[in-house]
Amino acid sequence: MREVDRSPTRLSSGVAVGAGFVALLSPGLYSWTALAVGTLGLALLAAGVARGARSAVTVGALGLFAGAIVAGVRGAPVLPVLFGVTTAVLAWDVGGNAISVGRQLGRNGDTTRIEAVHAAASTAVGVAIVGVSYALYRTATGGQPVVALVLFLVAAVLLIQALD
Amino acid sequence: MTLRRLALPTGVVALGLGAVALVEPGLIPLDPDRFVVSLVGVLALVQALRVARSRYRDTVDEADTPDPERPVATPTPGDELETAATEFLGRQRAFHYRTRIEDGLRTAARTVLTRYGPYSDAEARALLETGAWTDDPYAAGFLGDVDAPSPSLRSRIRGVLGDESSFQRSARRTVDEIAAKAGSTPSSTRETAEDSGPNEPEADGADLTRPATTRNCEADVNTDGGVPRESGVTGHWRGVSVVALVGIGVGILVEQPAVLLAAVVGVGFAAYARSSAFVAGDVSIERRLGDEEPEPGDEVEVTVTVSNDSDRFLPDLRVVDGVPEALAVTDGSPRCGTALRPGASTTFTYSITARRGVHRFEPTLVLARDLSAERERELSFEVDGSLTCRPLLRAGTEPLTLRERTSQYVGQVETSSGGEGIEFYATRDYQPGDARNRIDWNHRARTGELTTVEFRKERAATVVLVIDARTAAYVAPAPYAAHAVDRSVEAAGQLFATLSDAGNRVGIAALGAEPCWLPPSAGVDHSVKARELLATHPALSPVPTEARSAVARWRKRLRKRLSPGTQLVFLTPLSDDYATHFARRFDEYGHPVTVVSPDPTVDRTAGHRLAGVARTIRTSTLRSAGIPVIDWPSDEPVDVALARYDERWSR
Repeated sequence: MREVDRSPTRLSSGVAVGAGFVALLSPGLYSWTALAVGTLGLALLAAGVARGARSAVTVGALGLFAGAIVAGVRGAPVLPVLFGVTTAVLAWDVGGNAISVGRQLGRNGDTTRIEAVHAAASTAVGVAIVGVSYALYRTATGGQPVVALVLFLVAAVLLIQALD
Repeated sequence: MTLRRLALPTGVVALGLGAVALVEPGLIPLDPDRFVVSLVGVLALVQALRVARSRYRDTVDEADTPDPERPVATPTPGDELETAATEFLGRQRAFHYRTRIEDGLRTAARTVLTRYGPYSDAEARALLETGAWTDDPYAAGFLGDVDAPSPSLRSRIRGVLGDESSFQRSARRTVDEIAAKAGSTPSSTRETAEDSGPNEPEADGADLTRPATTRNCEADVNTDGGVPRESGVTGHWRGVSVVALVGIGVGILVEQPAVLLAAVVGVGFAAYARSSAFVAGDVSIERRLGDEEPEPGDEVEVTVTVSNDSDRFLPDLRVVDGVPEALAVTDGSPRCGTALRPGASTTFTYSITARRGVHRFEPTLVLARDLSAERERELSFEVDGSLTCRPLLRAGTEPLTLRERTSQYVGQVETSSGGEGIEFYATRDYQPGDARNRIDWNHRARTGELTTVEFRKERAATVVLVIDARTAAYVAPAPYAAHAVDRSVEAAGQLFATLSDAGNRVGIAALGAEPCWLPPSAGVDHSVKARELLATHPALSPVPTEARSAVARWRKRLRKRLSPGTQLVFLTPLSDDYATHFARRFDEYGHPVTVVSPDPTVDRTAGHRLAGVARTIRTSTLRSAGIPVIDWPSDEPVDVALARYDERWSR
């Protein structure tokens, strides 16, 4: 009789930790604080993925995200921060998927395809987002009235609230 | 809630105003100062906190999958001390948990003392009250009155340091004393139980207390042909808007474009999670078996094909095949995760080990998700398929010694009357009419007297093998070990072959969820029928069925069916008093009963040991009523048990 191994799947776990590394390094090179916060986050994420603890993965990814924000506050350039935030979200998403696939299917079954498809889709979305935001940043270089910006931000906060 | 409803129109208005301001800055007469801008940032951060808290509270909500790899676990008698103890009480029931255990143990002790000791009932009562029945102060104090000896203060203080409560400890030691008095507990295992510390009792198998009729399986509703269940939001992306809100909040407060742009990432992923329109397309499942009628113990390869019959890409299908309940997966996995393009299909294989019986496959569970894993839908597919495993009926090496009662057919039971037969029985004086070839001519030549040789008459017995297949008989020494019903059926097959080969007329009946009756007969056709019945009859299914058995009515019917003098071989684990009752009733009706009892008891915990004592008492009750009981331990073949019994019987 084979025991059911319901721990997180290997492929997605590896991808999640890899994404976490990028999320740690790309903004971490610009700020020591960011590096410290991010390292903590990455450690938590790795532990969560290894043990199948979803909350640890979430908090760890939040740490990586916080690291990127700290780097941004300390004046890191736009691209590394964008990269850091995106890969932090990716690490969270793929790590969560590793746990979910592990819980539902376990390690014994063949799950390579759903894991690969999920990770690839999220990565593609991430790349698109980074591209769009960077383009936005390059085109909107001052000149626009502050009123417009503030109204847009208010709209963003409200709409997020409405959709969530 | 009203706040949320207001948020959408206000947000849209703000968006519109922003667009206007972008094009014609003069039209919006607002000039937000530093304070107002900061306020927006702070509000965003507060909102981020709220979202984070909601993620913390409602975590991911996704479907659970069953564990088809494992066969259904069978309980062991005495998994719960309480059940084992209350069994001694019969009808009477106490209200409190502790009282029930105490009363049960007291009755058990009294029964054991009167049966295995030289005491009358009143003496046993007195002994229990004074505590003089045992040397163990815990046991004495537990069942005795206030004057009975109790454990010393020192040992009690030491006991406080253990994990076991004083009640548990006393109950356990009382059970051990009772078991020792009944002589049913091997000392070696008892020592290990003591050595492994006070936290050992009830830890083992405590999670198997419920009769495990179904697997831990919430998705086993029988639906046909992939009926979609409600699709639901998994919450995989819940909380991603924190990224957006923190980006906006911090970005505004520190005035860093990099941070503000981080908000776009959050918005982007939130939109991705929300956007993917979810269709659980048409999926079809096909299953092929390597062998539909394998021998017991054969590995059967199962190949499952999952196809996407729709014209859409299905990015995330999680398939768990419905392995038959009683079978264990030995190689591979009955699970697969796959993504399928339109028209594509994928296969996966796993192996199961065949066991006696008809094994129907359970519905296959498919969990379909969208690309972002935000939505999930459960589908259940009824894919027909079953596996039938019919063990051959092989005669054993040991004959079963039947009880002396015979029918008019030639057969196995040796009678104590002379007549026609093979074995020499006696000589007697010649009587006119005796056959000439039976005259002892040697004797005649020597003495001139005519004598006739008589041979031992051999007569056939009519035997009905009755298998106890009530839910109470589905017990095993370990959760995944062969349970008593399976062992009984196996033994019945062997006994059937042995007894038929010896010329007896053998029938089969089962005491279970459904009426099961094969009238006694002989011949090749009959044994084919017997083999089929033992393998496939629903009453002898490898897993207990839910149906309640109308045993009392059934017993009357069986009694009518039995011709006078028919012997019964009753195969039962003796796991409750009904089994003893049944055997004694039929013995009284004039059907000699022999009990063959596969032993399901173990001595892992106090409860298990107490259940063992109860079974020992049942065995000796039967033996003292003149009914032979062949005790068949779980670690040996039935031949060994028969041989041991035979040896004792012939001595």
